[in-house]
Amino acid sequence: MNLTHLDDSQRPKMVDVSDKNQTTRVAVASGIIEMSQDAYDAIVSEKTKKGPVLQTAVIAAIMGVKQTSTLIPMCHPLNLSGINCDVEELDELPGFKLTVTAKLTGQTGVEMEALTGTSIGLLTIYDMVKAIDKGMVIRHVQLEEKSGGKNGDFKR
Amino acid sequence: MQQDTSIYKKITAFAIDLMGIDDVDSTLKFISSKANKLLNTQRCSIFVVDSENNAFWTILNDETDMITIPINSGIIGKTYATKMAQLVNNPYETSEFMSSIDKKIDFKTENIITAPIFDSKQEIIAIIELLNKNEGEFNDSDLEILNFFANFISGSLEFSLMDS
Repeated sequence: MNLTHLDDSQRPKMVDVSDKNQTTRVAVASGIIEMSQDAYDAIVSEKTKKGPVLQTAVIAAIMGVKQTSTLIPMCHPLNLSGINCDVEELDELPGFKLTVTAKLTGQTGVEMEALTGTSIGLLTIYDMVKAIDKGMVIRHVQLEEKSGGKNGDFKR
Repeated sequence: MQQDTSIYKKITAFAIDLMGIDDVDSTLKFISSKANKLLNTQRCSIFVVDSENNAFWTILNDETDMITIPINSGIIGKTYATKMAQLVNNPYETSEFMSSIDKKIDFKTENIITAPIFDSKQEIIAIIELLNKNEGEFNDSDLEILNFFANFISGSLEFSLMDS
């Protein structure tokens, strides 16, 4: 199988996107952050020192989506037509599940953007409550689904 | 195409620089001066939505010169209502154009592009407006760049407005 990010000599290259057809691409990624009850309660009751954690995490996730090209080598800056973030409270864990949907009409996939946004959003939650719990675990950062593009759709 | 890619890279790099700035005034000033340079224009104004009062506020010449305008007025109002970027190369022949600001600051608007800036809830928090391209008139490519720019600075603007 050929990896599109490597050239004939197996060196990294930027994928040429100019000859792909413009279609609507959607990618959904999610991830979980697990934490102590104290940290969870502080976030839900908005009693953390650094301000509203979940709102900040959502904005950070969206910024992460847009900045993917500056973080991951050989990704292009994209003009995304839609980014949606959703945070689910998981009382029984306790923790939160962050889901990021990235959408664009264009020539390139957006799964890296959705995955990067998810990671940045979860890291932001960690940063804002690390004073309460340093043992938080970020896990299951994964692609849930993607559609559009020549390699077909994917759904977990 | 090569040039296009480089301007988009400049915008993403600028968005990172912008993350280091917290307060609203500096954020607005930094965004305006960068937008002016990127698109080679004479003026840039950012109209921030004040939804409680159904108005926009903006800073005209210096920090002390803040004005408010109704949310439905002018090309800015049209951008807000339609949620779409606007391109107007003949403002004085366009019914929506508000010439009162020109009079107030002794300026002649020759051409305009605007773009909405959305927050994380997909609601408009501000409109960015560029006036008078230094060479020629605005075109669709300028509009595309401004949209991309608006999209990239939205997070920093939302953070700075959240703190204020």
